[in-house]
Amino acid sequence: MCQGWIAGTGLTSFGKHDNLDTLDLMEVVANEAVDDWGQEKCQIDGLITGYSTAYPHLMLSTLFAEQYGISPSYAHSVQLGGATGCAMIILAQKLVISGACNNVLVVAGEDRLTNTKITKDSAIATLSQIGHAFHEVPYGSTVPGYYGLLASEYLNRHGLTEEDLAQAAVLMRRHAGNMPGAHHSKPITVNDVLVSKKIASPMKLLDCCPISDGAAAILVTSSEGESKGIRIAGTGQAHQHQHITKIANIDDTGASQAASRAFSEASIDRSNIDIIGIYDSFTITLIMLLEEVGFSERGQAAVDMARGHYGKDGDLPLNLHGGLLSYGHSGVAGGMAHLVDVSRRMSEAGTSDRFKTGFIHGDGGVLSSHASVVLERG
Amino acid sequence: MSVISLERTYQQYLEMSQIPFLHCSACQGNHGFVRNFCDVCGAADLEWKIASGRGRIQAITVIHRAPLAELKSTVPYAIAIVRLEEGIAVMGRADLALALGDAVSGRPVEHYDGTQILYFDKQEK
Repeated sequence: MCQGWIAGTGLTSFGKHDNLDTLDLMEVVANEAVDDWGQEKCQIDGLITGYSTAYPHLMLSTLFAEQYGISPSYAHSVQLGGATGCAMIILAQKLVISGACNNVLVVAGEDRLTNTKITKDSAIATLSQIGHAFHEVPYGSTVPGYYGLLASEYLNRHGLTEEDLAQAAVLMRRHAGNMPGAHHSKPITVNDVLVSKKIASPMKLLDCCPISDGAAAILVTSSEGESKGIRIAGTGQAHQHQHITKIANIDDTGASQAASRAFSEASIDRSNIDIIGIYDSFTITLIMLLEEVGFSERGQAAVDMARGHYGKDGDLPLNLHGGLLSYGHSGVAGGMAHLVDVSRRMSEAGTSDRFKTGFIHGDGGVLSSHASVVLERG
Repeated sequence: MSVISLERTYQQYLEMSQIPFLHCSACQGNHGFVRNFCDVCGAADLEWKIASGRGRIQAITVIHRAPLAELKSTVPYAIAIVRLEEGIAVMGRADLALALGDAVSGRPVEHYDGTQILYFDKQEK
């Protein structure tokens, strides 16, 4: 049976990219991934893109195919919010396994920060539309507001504090300090997070990811010999609700279901995972996902962060690139950065011996759509 | 019945100072969101009922950064998810002094755009 292998990756710096639009950024990073693969771009027979809030277009995948100069036999634009990055890799894996494609380019990019047609205000207004149009949006929440609602309930249920949430922001910033290209790399303390600007309680500015320009790409191939030796070993999704008001139980949002499906397909237990990339749009997102997927006990993720468990020298390094919270968030590419970073560390000299298995998880909406990927070397 | 027309009916109840919800007589399920059929048992016939308005704060946030220009001058404001005593969860504006677990009572109030939205404050003892 064909399997999906990671053959090349690309990741731009996140932050400001003046004078590059969505398609330009995608082109830059696609070239990087194809160069890394070492083959010709005319051999790409599958193209998967996400969406771009800065470049809303009905056909982003084929629009990019024309600009990039490729004629794939399969093209697809995927839209699952923050789960899109992982969902695109899942689709690439399925296309390769089915034999429909041999070389699938997965690419995303967005000038969400510097695009002159959209302002920060309009970006925030667009993103707030993830609420239910009739029952939620009129109340005037923002995305941080929806996660603030989740956080209020979760902190109360599991006896956590805002200091606990701040641990996640501090850790991501520490990791970004070692990562070239991170949007924010200046060290911060728990107190910095606590006194940062109020956004939507209990979310303060440093509990929230920034809005960034950036791009990421991954080339998935059926040929192990042309790959980095990293196999997409298992994938899973779960979609149990769309809107926060419809969440039946905040301890069971679908993350665990998606992860279990991925671990089961890979025949790898979560206890045997060496490195992880977990979606961290907000500090509460990261804490809840770590606990629901089961890497930390309920209410213990912040304690595990503070004791070094998730650090670069810890038992289970987490988001070593700095995550969305500090490497930055440029839409779909933000969720792909976790995939690129984990797969690179699994294949590069110096770290590959230590990291034989990786797990990446993305969530879209308000913990609505979940997509999990298990990577394995060899 | 289309969801759009159900939303219109929902607004009409709010304009009459009532908080409506849909009830499934087949499985006795209650629904906070308007919908065409029961997503618990699949029954097609849902009937309108009126909630008491009493419930508890299940989640609450105070918004300091509004999503729209029209709301900017009104910050800070609180938004809550309230678990009504009929078992359904609804979103509403809430008094700024409220906290998680508080017993609240709700009523429709007029929004900046003339529509009616739910507003919750502390339940009188």
